Amino acid sequence: MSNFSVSFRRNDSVCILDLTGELDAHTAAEFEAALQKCVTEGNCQIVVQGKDLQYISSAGLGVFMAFLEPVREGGGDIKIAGLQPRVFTVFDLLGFPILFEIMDSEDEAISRFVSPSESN
Amino acid sequence: MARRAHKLSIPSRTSELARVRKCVSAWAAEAGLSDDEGSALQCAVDEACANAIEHGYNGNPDGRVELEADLKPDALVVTVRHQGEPFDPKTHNIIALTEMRSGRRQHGYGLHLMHKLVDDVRFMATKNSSEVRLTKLKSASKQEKREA
Repeated sequence: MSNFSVSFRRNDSVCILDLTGELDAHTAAEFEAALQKCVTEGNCQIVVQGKDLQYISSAGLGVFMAFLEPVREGGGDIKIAGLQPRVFTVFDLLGFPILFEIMDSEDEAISRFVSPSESN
Repeated sequence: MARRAHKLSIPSRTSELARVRKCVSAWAAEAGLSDDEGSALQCAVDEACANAIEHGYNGNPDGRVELEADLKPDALVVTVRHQGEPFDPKTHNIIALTEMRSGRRQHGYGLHLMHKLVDDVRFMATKNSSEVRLTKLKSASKQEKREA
C-alpha cells in the first residue's frame, strides 16, 4: 500500500496540491500524475503544500523539476509551502531554493501569484 | 562497544523502499546516531537502493538487493549490494549539480544527494556484484577528528 497521497484544492485561480506521507522512487509517479493533471487542465498556478510531507528523495525532486518549465511556459509557476525542516534540507542540499520559491506558509505562497495591481 | 551487524534482503522493487528506510532508522538509533544523522543516512541508503533497482536491474522486479549494516563505535556503515548492471563512477559521466539545475534535468540527483548526506561514499564492483558503501560518522567522532 502506498504511504503517499496527493489531493487537490483551489483558491481562486491557484491550484493547491496537498502532499501527505513519503515521496520516493515508488510514489513519485502519483505526484507526477497530479502535476500532469494540473497542466493538462490549464491550471499552471500551483502551490504545493508540504506540511504533511514526511520524506522526499531525489525521485520526488525530479518530478518538481520536470514540471517547472511546462508550468512557467503556461504562464504560471510552482510555489512550495510549509516544508518540514528535514524535507527542506533535501531541497536545500541540491540547491533547489535557487529555482523554486519556498515559503513558510500557504497564504504567502498563494499571495505570490497575485499581481500588484490586483492586490491594490 | 562491540561491533554489531544487521542484514536485510529485499526484492528489486521500489515498493520495498519504505521498509528499507524503516530498517535504517532502527539501525541508526541502535548505533547511537542523532536523529538528523539517522535521517541523512536513511535518505542516502534509499537513493542507493533506488539506483540498484532502477538502474542496476533496470526495473526487473526479480532481482535482490542486499543490505548490510556495520555498527562501529564511531560510525554506522551501510553497504548496498546487487547483481544487476554494474555502476562504475569512474566511467560514468557525472554531471555537475549546477549544470543539472540549469538544464532542468529530472534524473541524476541521487548520486549528488548521497555524497552530501553521508561522510563517505565508496563504489565497488566485482565480476558478480556491485556495491556502494555509505558511512555516516557519529557527531562526537566528527568533533574528535576536527580537534585531532
